Amino acid sequence: MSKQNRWYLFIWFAGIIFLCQAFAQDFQTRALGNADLVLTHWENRLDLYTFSRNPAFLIQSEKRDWIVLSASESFDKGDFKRYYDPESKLDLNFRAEGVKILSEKEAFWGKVNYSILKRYSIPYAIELHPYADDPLVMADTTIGNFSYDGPQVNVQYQYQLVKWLGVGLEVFYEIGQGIKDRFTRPRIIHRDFAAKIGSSVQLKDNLVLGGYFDYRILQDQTEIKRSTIDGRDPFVLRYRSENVYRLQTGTFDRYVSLDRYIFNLALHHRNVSGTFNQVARFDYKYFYQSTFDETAYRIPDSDWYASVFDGWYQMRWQSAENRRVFGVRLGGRYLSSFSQHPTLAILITDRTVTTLQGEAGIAFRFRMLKPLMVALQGGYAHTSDHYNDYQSQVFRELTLQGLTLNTGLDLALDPIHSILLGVELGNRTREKYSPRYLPDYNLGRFTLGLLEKRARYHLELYFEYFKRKAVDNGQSYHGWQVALYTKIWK
Amino acid sequence: MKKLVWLFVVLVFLGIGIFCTPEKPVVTDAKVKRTFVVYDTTGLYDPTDTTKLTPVANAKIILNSKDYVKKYVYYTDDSGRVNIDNILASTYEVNVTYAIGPGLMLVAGQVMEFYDFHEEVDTLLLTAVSPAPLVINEIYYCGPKNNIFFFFDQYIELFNRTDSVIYLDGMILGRIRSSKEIRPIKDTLSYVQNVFAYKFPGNPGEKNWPIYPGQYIVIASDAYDHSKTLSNAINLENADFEFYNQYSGDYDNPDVPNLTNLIPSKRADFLISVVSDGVVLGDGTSWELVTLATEYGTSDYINLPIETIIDGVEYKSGTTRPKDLTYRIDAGYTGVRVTRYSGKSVERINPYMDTNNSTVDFHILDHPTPGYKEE
Repeated sequence: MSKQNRWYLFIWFAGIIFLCQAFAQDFQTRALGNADLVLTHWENRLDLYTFSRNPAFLIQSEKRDWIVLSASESFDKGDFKRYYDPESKLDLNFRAEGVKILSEKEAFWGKVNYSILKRYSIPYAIELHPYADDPLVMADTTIGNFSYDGPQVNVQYQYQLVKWLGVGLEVFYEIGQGIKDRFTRPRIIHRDFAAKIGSSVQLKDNLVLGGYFDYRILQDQTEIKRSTIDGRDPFVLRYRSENVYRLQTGTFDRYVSLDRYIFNLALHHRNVSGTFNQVARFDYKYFYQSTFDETAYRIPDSDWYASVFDGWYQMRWQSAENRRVFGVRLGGRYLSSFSQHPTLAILITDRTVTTLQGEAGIAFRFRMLKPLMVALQGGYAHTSDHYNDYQSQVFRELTLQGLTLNTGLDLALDPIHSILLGVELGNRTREKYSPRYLPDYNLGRFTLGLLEKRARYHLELYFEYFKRKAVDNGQSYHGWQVALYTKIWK
Repeated sequence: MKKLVWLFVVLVFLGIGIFCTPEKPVVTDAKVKRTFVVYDTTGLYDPTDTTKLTPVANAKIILNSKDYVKKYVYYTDDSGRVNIDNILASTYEVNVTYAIGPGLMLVAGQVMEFYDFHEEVDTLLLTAVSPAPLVINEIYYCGPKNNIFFFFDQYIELFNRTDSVIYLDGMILGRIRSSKEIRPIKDTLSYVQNVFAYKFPGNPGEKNWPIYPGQYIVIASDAYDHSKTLSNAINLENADFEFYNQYSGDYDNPDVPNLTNLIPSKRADFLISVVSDGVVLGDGTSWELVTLATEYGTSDYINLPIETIIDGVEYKSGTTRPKDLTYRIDAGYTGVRVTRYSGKSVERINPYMDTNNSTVDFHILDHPTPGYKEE
């Protein structure tokens, strides 16, 4: 091989490695059709750390130092979308993550993530999540492309005070910006900070109680500019409810400031042999969002409040040699929110959303010449959404239902290499019209993973294709994702 | 025991979080109720009523929200009452009109805050206005579609809506002053203050510059063929009049008569904002040049007494901009959604209609129509 060819090969390899350090999720679970209830690999273990992200359980959960590098790219497009949704999306994500066991009492976890999000042909919406729970939407009169990018940094530290009591801290920071390429040329500066303090208590040998308090403050500053290129002043429509808006032109800065508080309590129980694990979690979340314009003085727009109760239970049973695995997850979420006039105690909207969900799965491991694992998981979710928009005089009460079937197949080609296949089929139904939800559709997702497992590292190449197709007409939305994931142990 | 204490502390902490959330308001929006009773105070509605406080049936009430893009229109019943229900909590510009006959109208207008959800009764007292014989029929201000900030082909169009000849001699066209100093008191002043004021040739009472019944008159910023500068700009070289600042090197078309500047310290041509402004037409019988100290230094203005103003029109592109022209001249505003350099124009829907409220009298044209009315 010539020197030049070796150089090209190096660049190609370095590029692939870099590109594939993207979305650092558990790609092994995803490659197996997201049948997470019954998959028993290390990244999908069931404990307080993975189930409720309690930093005070880091030492109990992680036994070795490791780092993960991953990169992913995804692209999707289609005409089956909601009013404000973009026609297509391109996401790039790069991640580095690692755990360091500092001593018998101390552990550290850190993650750096960088995302580049492209949203093409967004109709009017001037925010990344126009269908978030709050009713405020800012829109203009142009269709354009949005580009978002920014880093996230996340660190955790645990200190085990005594054998039965540990405390943990987590800090999260994200800064990013979004820019639309058409006038009003909004520029969104996104700042997000969260701090979490947690604790875990070993009540009995196999029973752990954990809890944490998490505070997050998020601020989105949106700068709207006058036209300087094509000589026009597009309008900004500032919705306080579904159909009632203010009309604005010119240059201004809008701020959305969100405070979130989470109170978490979780319990983990396992049997002596570790073949039976069960966890339960209860979260209370409280959100307060204020929106205002910052000029010579502050002009309030509207306030939004939400309370969320989350309760989840999950169990996993494994046979003695892990030949069979059985898992169940039950849970629910209740959201109650309202928005009110910025200066007067006048209710503009209120909304309650109740979600109940149940899933069960089973996996079999066959000891053949080439060992094979087959996982099957099914779930049902029921959501009722009760929305009262007093300002626009829109009142909606509807239910949503979803059925999902996840299948995964893990075929070991040899002790080191495996092929992972997954198929996810789903169906979503919407009882009545609501702009917030897509009409009835069927979902299909196919995943493929090529996994190399060595003693010191795991390397996985992941591919996914999905399609959502409307039941009533031929509209569809489809996309793909490719990722490379490396985990290296010390 | 220690573990139980710890558990107790956590549960108390959780409880505090849950029970310290704010209460939801019990009053919901869009439930405001109001009753208006409209009275005529002039005796014109019912000359037989010597009390001069007569309930007016079929008076038109327009509520324009100052917070939202929302307008409500109501008509009074035979007892002069109208019950308004389920409207948004907001501040509204309330305009009432009742046409007595051609050339005479009863009007009332004020800004009212509707945030109270209890049944309340408001009395609106109508006063008489004579719709202007000469009206500002069209204002083209935003400039043609362009990316070089060109807006110099602005013009104002007048229309004689009577059946007799009117003479323009000595009349004054003014661009109103828009500032935070004058805005709060504009409805209490006996004059309209102008940053620019240009006078037609001649003096009031003279009869040299006629405008005939049904005739349109175009007054250009500069009577020039602007299409020579920008292909989609307007050719105004045949305008009827042009604004000419005799104190500067302003362009002057020798074939077009001039309106001349009344404020010697102003060296700029008569140009109006491409977004938001107001224009008034005075009969020229009275005006005063005043020098005022502002936060930017001293400046000269022309005060036109209210009683000398024949017509006035305010325009603004967005509903969030404050109103600058007193409701006694124009109870509303036109131009909402007309953006800079969009090539659009605002014109009277019907040149014979003048309710002193440009919100209802005007509409937006996709292109200017100098000297004619688009069919």
